[in-house]
Amino acid sequence: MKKFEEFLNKLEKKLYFFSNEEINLVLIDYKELYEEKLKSTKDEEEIINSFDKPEIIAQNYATELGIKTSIIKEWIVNTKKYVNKEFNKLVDLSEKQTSKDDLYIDKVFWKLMSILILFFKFVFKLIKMVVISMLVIVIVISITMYLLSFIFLKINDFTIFIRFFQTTLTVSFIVLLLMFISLIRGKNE
Amino acid sequence: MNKELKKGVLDICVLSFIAKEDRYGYQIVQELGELFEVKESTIYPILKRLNKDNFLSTYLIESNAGPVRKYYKITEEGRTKLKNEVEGWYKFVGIVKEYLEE
Repeated sequence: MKKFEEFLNKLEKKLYFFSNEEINLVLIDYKELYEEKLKSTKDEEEIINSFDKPEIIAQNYATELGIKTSIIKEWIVNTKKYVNKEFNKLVDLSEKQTSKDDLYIDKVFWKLMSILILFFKFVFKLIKMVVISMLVIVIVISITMYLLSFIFLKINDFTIFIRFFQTTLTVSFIVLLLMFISLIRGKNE
Repeated sequence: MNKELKKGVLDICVLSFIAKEDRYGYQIVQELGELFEVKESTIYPILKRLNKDNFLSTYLIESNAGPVRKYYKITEEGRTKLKNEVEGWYKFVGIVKEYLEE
């Protein structure tokens, strides 16, 4: 049941373009399907493997309903939901902790800190991923061009490598910027 | 069967299947899934779209044997759509058949 719950959680996140009510109805469908399949096999993993991946399920819904998806929007919606959930927990806590103000403030502080850390973790991960992959591509292209000029044109000048590095770096920055713009606008995958 | 062809007829088959009797998701997935070799991830979005377009309505029924079951029921608009689609389908099949036999 634990793996199935993980599957449902992932599906819920991927269906970010639906309202909570709509997501619940989709989850009801999958719970029903799971329970029915459980009658013929007790292997939880086998049942989950018989379903498509949450990404594909969500994409099928988006395609069928003509909804445009975007990774950035998905992250924003899921982060908002997470923050709302955490704040609701805090409200509950405040009702219980009215007499223990110090403890309440302490918990509020750490909850806010955890949200902030989560945000920075995501930004850091994203920057790291983009910068590393961009540098690898730029270096590979520069080395290839340097080697090609060395092999075919017999030019053994290291400044060629530097020039190619500068040019490809500039081009990749432009490509990155264009990709970022298209991501924000949202593309129908 | 060709994927695109399957996609074209699934709407009619789903509507026709539910028009006979109200069905819950698993029944529809089982019956149509076996018939057309399509997975639940294809059928559920179609049901969702038909529901959104008001051709189907849903209601939940508590089940003693398991979780809540979501039943699908065809609406009046759905019946009209089904009638039109079936007429269109037979017309289309007739034209193709005639063309192929020429």
